[in-house]
Amino acid sequence: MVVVKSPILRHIRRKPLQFVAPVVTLILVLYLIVGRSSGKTKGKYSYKSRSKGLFSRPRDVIPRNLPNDHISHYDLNKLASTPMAAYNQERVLILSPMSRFYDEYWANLLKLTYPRELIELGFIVPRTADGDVALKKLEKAVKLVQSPRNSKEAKFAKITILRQDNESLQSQKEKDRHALSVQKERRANMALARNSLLFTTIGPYTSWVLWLDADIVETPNTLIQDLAGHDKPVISANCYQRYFDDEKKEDSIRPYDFNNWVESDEGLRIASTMSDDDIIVEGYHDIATYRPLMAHFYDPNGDVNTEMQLDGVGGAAVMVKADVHRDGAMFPSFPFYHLIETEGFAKMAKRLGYEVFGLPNYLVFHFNE
Amino acid sequence: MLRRDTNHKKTDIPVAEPLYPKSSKRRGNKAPVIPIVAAVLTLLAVYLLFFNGKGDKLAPTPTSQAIKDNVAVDSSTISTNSHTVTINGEAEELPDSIEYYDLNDYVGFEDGKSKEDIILLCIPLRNAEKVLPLMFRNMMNMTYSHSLVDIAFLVSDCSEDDRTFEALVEYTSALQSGTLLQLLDSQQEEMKRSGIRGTSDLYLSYMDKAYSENVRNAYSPPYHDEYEKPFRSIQIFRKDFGQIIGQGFSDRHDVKVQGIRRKLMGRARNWLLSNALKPYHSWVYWRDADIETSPGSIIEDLMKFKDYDVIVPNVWRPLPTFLGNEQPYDLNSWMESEKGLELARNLGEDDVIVEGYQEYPTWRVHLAYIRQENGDKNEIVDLDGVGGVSILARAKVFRQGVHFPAFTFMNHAETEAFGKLARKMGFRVGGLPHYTVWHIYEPSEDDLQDISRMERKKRRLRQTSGS
Repeated sequence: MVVVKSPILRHIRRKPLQFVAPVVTLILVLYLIVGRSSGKTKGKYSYKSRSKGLFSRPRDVIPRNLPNDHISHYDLNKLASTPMAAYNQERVLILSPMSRFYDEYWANLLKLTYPRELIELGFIVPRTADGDVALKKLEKAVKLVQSPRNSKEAKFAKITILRQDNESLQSQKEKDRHALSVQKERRANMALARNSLLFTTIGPYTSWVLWLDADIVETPNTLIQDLAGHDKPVISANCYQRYFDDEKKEDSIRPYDFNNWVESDEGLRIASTMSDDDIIVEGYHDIATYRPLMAHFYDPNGDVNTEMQLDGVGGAAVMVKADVHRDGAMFPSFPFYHLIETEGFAKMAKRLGYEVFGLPNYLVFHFNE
Repeated sequence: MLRRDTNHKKTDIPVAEPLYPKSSKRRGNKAPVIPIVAAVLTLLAVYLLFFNGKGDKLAPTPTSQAIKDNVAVDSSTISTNSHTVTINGEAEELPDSIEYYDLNDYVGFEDGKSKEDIILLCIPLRNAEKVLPLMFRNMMNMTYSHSLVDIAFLVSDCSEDDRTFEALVEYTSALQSGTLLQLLDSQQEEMKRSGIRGTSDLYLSYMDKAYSENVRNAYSPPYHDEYEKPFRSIQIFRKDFGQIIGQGFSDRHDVKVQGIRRKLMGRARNWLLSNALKPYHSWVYWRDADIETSPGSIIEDLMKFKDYDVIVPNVWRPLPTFLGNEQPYDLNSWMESEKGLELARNLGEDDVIVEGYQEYPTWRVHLAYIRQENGDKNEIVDLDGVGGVSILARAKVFRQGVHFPAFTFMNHAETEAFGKLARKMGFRVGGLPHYTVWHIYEPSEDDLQDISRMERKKRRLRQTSGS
């Protein structure tokens, strides 16, 4: 047995607390002065460091002392979008251009049953007075859900909120929105918003992108699983609206989004007569395209999984495989084959070789003003 | 056998005090203050260090291991620079998982470097192992603050025995730890010493002496301050699109194959961009790996044209002396012509016009041909099509949907369609005819045959003169 002869160590063994106390005091003092940085990061440098110590400095906005390695690798060959999305842990990006914040929209979003840690949210808000209001409400709602103090709510993986950089039309009231002359400009603006949101939030781990308009207030809870389950590159639900029928004195539903359609000969003929700068928009008596509109194909007794091929889609609830966007399919803000925004997107997806589908009997509901 | 005397029996010989354990009776009735205080402090310390503030930490974003490579080095989630955000006048702390950006902050300034604009540097790679040292030296040579540059690589469709990805991993790790220059220099020494030189290097002796001297100087010290500094971040993506076209000079440049090839390249560029672009990027700089020499300040030089949104330099390449020393290389930067538009009108929806081939006489003005050796480097002209060797564009251009069409768009694909698309959406596309970057020279089959013929002639002359 080795007898430790050092007097200091001997002293420590004899009176351990006499040694421990000053050491612990020293640690405490250091802790209070230097503070603890929160945020568990694997890197040597934490961009999120927030010093809570007594003498903490205000954080630098741009990191100055860079870590030695900040390298990440992604094997995109292993990234897939399969019908068994939840089972395969596929990440979904839900994107909603938002000019008005509806509580029902948010409540509906929170009711979705797809695992939240696999969902990322993206919002883009226009630079208008309406946008300011929406942003404030949105901020409140997301902070409530994501706050670490709120242990009741599961957290979304990430939420990105953007403020649009280009000028927007000031008024978004229903009547104004739908004036034909305003449509082209408004939809061009929407297209830019969608693209800005999409290309800055889609990442190397995203398998699906769900475009969900901010004024869709009611969808099935299993929306994501249902749409992904059809395993189509682009698939759109049928958008209706609940209203109170004054004549029959009962609650009823009516079609709302007419942008899901199948091309017709008449539509093509009209397109060929137009100048390059003109666009065709559905639902206006001025341009009678006689295109079969998915809105009219709804059968209340039909199979909810019935699919139909489409040539144009709206933006109400569209599930897109991330690869389609990565290949370049975006929302043209200019006349693209005389189409614009979401319908132009469907055309672009088809030009890239992807098929576009719709579910006529699968309903989601738009807000009723 | 010696034994410590531990019994308390008194002996004749006084035993030294320290051998006896201290009697507990010594403490007497004094209250044990110090031990209690110490114990309390210890518990407090343990509590603060390990248990406090756990609620403030959110779990890091779960990244599926199935997606990441096994060779993945540190992969911290790169967060933003705006966690204390003023939304509507109130300064609030957002939880880690929420990010807020006002895209108006990232429109790009003409003096971006001083305004700390963050740049995304995109480099597509395919079978590029041999040019990686060259590419990295060029990257280190960039004078734009490395701490403001995010780099993104896409490695795609490499052949079986190619080691582009592995070499890239090695070099980027070295780059970020500041040891890359050392590594590259030692590799170069190694090659010289072992005397490995293939017959394909024979052409070097046929190049213009002044040019060779220039290249040698460009890659020798002293280097500027920024040279060995690490970059803000590096992302490496792998994706195979199923390209089966060869990468040899002749394979690449066959006209029939161009359309398909360009569409696939467009797809690759779009994948790289969409995965790497973040809301806080102000600029995107596309760079090919096989540039031999270019000014280190190229990003600042291209950035200062505030009226333009997409800016490209001129791209030439050096040639052996017997072929004229130099020639225009990138013919994809041009101004549209009436003839070109007419040609497009008569082509099918899916036909892709490619420049520089007699099959498609467009009579366009090419940036490459209007170069003057001593021209004003700040002269800029409007373009319709651009080449992809070196493009600086505002991130806003890409945010609004401009990309490299992988389908036939206005009878073009990839970078030229990109130029057309940008113009269609109202952006200004410009080229600098007298600001040149130099592509490497890769001898074609014909060139190599010429060289071997000259070599044989030389040998014959030596033999006849020697004998």
